[in-house]
Amino acid sequence: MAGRTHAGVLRVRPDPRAHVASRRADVNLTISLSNIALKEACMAALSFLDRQHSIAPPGYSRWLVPPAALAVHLCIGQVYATSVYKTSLITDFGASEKSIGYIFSLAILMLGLSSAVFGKWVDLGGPRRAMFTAACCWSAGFLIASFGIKSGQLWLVYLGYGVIGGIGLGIGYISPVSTLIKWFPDRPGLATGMAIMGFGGGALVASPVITKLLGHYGTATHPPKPDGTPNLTVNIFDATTVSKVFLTLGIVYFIFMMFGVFTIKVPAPGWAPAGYDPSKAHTKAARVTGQVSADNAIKTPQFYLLWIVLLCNVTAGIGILENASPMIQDFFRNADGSSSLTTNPKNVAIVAAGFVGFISLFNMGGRFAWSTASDYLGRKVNYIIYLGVGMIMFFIVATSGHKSTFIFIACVAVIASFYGGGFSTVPAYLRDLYGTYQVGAIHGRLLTAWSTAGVLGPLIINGLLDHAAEGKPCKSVLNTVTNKQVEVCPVDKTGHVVAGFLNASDYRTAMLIMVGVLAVGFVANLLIRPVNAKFHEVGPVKDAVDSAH
Amino acid sequence: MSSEHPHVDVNHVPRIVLSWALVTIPLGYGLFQTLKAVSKLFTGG
Repeated sequence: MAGRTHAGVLRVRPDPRAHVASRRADVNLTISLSNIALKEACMAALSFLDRQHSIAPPGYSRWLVPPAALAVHLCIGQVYATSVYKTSLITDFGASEKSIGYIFSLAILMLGLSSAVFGKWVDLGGPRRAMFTAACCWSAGFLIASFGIKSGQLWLVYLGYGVIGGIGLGIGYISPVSTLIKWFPDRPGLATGMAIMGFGGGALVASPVITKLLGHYGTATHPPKPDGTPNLTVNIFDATTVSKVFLTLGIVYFIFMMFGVFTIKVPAPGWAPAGYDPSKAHTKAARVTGQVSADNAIKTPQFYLLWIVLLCNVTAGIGILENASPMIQDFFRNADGSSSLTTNPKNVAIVAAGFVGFISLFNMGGRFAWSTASDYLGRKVNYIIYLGVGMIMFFIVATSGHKSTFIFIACVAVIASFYGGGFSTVPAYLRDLYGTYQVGAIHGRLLTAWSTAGVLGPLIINGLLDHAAEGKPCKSVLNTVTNKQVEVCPVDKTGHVVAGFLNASDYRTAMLIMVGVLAVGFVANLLIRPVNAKFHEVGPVKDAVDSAH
Repeated sequence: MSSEHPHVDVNHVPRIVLSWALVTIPLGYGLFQTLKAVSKLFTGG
């Protein structure tokens, strides 16, 4: 736009609209630059998570790595402590026991699926990025579930804790495993045992902490027993209280897992422990003969045989561990309905809870002890023990378990230790067969066996117990509050088998089926041979310790 | 094949102790609480 001045000189007068447009363009440019700067800042911050930024400097102690792994596994191990608030959720949502049980089942299912799907991504991106993602998912899962509980929307709990939290579980579970194997090529069993022990320990930590938090945020109510008196062994908390606990756990777990994120480091290419000579490994099995990619691993029969081994070991163990509390009560119930576990009938549930704690200790201890022992015995021998001795233990429980509390407790404790040992020894078994190249991804794919067992184990034992309970007649009990007789049936309206109806003989078929399940795994383990060399990667693989071998 | 530094860097020792303490303290608490519950199994509640 032009205009004339008094001097008749043509001068350019700025168009106000153009000025506005120019200002807008400037603002847009500034915003764009800010966005770019923000993106770059974010990328720079996130690049901290990259594998190349987590390579250990010279002199870095490998003993800093297990605590990082433990920090993640201790948090995600909370998944085994869901029973603490299960009854509260059943009451708060007015849902069946099965509906609430699906939250746990969904989380375990997602664990297997996500570890299988994201295994290669974890191996390629390194443990720090994987741990960070796991922390975000696990924490977000709690926060979403917290909102779901507060607002009475069960689907949000499925989505949050089950799906998103389950993805965090899967990624978190496998994220430090391959790194630990690479830091401890001389003791892969010890290394994975330390981390996976944390998964077992996570429930030991979470159970008392959640109990304390529930008591801190709210007050428990107790449901009435059939005789009308309050059942003091069952604590029910309202939705607001449980929601606050989930919120707290989500925040605390995120912070704790960040310690693992900031501490974990991968060994530099070519690194090996001082004095380590792969040719002088403790056992022949522990000597890696070749490196196999995850895609090639699933073309080998060894992968499927080991999948069956893990499936059978977990199916048998999970079936007994999930029912530990009612099982000990049912095994030691006298003909008149009284318990031979304790002279005080009020203490039966407390003694049973003690038994659950006892086998949890063996589950956790087995993860460390058996996996460490596998460095000396060899993985195959370890699984021969888990499955072979496990068969004997299940047979004794089935036939003589009810005759002696000592025999029963000892056998179940040994089974629990084999269950834990099976989890922690399998990464080292994979490392022996396939090398360290993509062991995390292969481990992730193998964990689908865990998800399958998570469905199969309870399905077998609960199906048989439900069938046994349904065949029993209802009982008439005097309600001391209303002074009326009430009828109590073996299966209540939530589908739960009511305590007091089953006995040891009702478990016999399930226990003998587990002997058969373990026998299948035993044979599968015996069939495992070293992987055919045609599946080995040609030439050195570009990965940490491997490239030096 | 390169080797790990023959001796752990002295500066790492406090960090190792702190790191292990951070994970073993909660684990120890969980173990203690579990052992308290387990004792009921052997004392009859």
